[in-house]
Amino acid sequence: MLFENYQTDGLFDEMFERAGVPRPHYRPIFERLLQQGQTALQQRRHMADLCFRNQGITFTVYQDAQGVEKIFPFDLLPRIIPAAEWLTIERGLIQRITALNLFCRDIYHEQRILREGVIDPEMVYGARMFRREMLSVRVPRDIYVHVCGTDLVRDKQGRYLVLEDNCRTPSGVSYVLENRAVMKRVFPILFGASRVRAIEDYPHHLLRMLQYIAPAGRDDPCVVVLTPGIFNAAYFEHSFLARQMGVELVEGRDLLVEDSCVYMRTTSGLRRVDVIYRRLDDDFLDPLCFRAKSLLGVPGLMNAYRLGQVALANAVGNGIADDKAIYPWVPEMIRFYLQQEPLLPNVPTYVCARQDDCRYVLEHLDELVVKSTNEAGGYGMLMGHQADQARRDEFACKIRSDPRNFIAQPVVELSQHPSLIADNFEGRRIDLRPYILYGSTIRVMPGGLTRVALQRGSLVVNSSQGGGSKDTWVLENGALP
Amino acid sequence: MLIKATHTTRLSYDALISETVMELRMAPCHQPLQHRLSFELAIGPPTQVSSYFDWLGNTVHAFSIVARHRNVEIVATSLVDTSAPAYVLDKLDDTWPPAAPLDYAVNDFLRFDDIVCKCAPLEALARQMMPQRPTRLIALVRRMMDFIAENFIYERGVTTTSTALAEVLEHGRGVCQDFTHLLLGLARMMRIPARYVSGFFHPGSKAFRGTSESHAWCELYFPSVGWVAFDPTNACVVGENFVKVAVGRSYRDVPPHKGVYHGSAREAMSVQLQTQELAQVPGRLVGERSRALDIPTYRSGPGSILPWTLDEQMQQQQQQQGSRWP
Repeated sequence: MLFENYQTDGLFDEMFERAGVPRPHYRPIFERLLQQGQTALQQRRHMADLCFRNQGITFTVYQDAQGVEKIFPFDLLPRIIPAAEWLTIERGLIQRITALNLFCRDIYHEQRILREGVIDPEMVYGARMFRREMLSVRVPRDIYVHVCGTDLVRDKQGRYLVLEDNCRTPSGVSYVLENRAVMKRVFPILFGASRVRAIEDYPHHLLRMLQYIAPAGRDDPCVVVLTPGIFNAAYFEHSFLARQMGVELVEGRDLLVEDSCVYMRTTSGLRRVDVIYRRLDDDFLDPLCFRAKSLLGVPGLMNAYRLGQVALANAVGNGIADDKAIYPWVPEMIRFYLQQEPLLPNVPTYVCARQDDCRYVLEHLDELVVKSTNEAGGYGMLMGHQADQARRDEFACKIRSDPRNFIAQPVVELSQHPSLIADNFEGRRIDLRPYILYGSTIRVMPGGLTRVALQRGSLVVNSSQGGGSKDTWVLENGALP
Repeated sequence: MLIKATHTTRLSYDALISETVMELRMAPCHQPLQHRLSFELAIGPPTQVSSYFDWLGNTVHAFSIVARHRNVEIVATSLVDTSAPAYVLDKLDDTWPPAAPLDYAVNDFLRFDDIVCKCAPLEALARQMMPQRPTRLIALVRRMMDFIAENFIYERGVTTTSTALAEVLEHGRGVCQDFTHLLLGLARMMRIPARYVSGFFHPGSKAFRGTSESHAWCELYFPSVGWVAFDPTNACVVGENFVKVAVGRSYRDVPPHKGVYHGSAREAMSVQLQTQELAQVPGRLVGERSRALDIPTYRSGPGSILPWTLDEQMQQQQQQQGSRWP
């Protein structure tokens, strides 16, 4: 029952050392599942599904005929990470966000990393997300990457690798919190006995971080969450975070700029806003400074920001740090700014902007994953080994016409984890997106969003491409017998 | 040359509007060959003005008017002392292509955008003009300027501020902005860094094109002396009667005024520029200051109508890339 036909297929399996033998940190849950059996498990699954539906925890897939609001499929069996393993991840992430932040600061000021020839200036100046408007602009406390979501995967040997950084407005954290709330309700006894590190204080730390960057002299700063609006895929998350922090959720039209300060329209008149947690792309923030046709932004916001009268998280111009064509240089950034060796390695990457790389990519399209440098969410991507010739040709054509916009990586055989598929557990590929907050200190939320590619054999975990998620348990030190 | 300039911009609307937010690039540059002795900005309806340097080093003044209003008036008065560069242009011995690679920040002015756009006619033109062997840079620039003077016609009303280079090449007509974009395009095709200059000039007695309004010209990069100014509209070198206000990659970086407002009203604009040569520096200078013009605001009136549709809203809300759902 349950695990009888479970295959590890020569991949790294998170739960099993080999067939039928769970890793030590999975032993308690393994035994409990076997003890309780099929009926109890199905009951719990039903309970979990009901929780998500009743609470309306949804995300949006654009242009979907079946209706756009979706429940993010939840996979019952949690992913478990032992304390020692997490410690390495945490140190690696802190190192990485520190370097990325120094990179942003450097690019918009001295540009040492370009002057000293570590990174080809053309890679930065040719990037679509490089914001010249931010050159020489001091941002509060020199912090650019306030919230970072770094995607980690494990290869066949179980090594953690960084797949990409999300330094602009990473989403998904509301799911982490909701998954946990549901798990606690569905597995109260097991959860209680497992000594899992708490994550519920994330909104509290988010708010503390936002208050920390408020303009000097504002004692009780007013923080707001700026959303594009109800049609955005992550609207649920925007409202969720605002509610959890106890701050206002606003749209661009709720704000205005007067005398270089930002105000919010309230039923009792204008109220000064000090910090904006914006979940809006740079391009849309201020029609005066960026895209003139933006209906979602606040005219004059950039002037208030420039003068230090309002703080924005994340900073404007971070797209330069999570550009996929800049990613291959992150290990170099760590060496350059911190004089340290990277703790979490990158996935080898071919940058099509380099002629040799581009030639190699075009010759090996059938074995590489090609990604557009500024897309996210699994859009604009080619899985060369699974695609047909027509689609590969289409990408070859795109790469030739705009090489700067593409990178390619060898296929990483992601680790797998048992997922409850119908009545049995089957192996499905997973990744991990931990969330990092950069305020007075750098704080990594213990765990993060574990995404699951729910289709058998699929390597794409994005929600828009049929991915689901599961709870992630980071165990306390000494939690294991 | 001591030049006093008064730059008046009047914007009027056929219905009440609110929440005008505006940026001005009207203050003359302050640099070795051009001293800004004084600058006064008068704005109405009354408001607070803040200023900053943009990434190109231009002085920007910003303000907003929240209350309802029907008119906005801006009067920028400046006094500048200009002098001509010490070098003789035709004696500059910079070569084309350059002897050493240029700094990457300078090379940023080689990029094309959707106004100074890389299009087939421009590429054809560049091929035709591209020298076959190394030459003197100034000779090449003169050839490009002559070509523009011979083949393009100065004519008002054919183009607007957002006309792209491709269109100008098609009909061969335009004003100073279009002539400037032409030279920028050609120079960049030849890998000569080139930037857009917005400013004005004191015509004196000579007949110059583009008087009594803002003017535009180019600066091309000469490694030996730096940025050198050329006026493709008048096919001449830029002398001390030119006052430089702002530089950028194209017109889009340097519009003298740029703003947004709430409301659905039609905008009418009038711009006047008066220049005058002074014999000596006046006894009392205003320095840098702003002043309020007495233009009324209104407490009530029809509320602003949002001109966009729900569809547009929805599209934009979904276009966010940096925040895609994981």
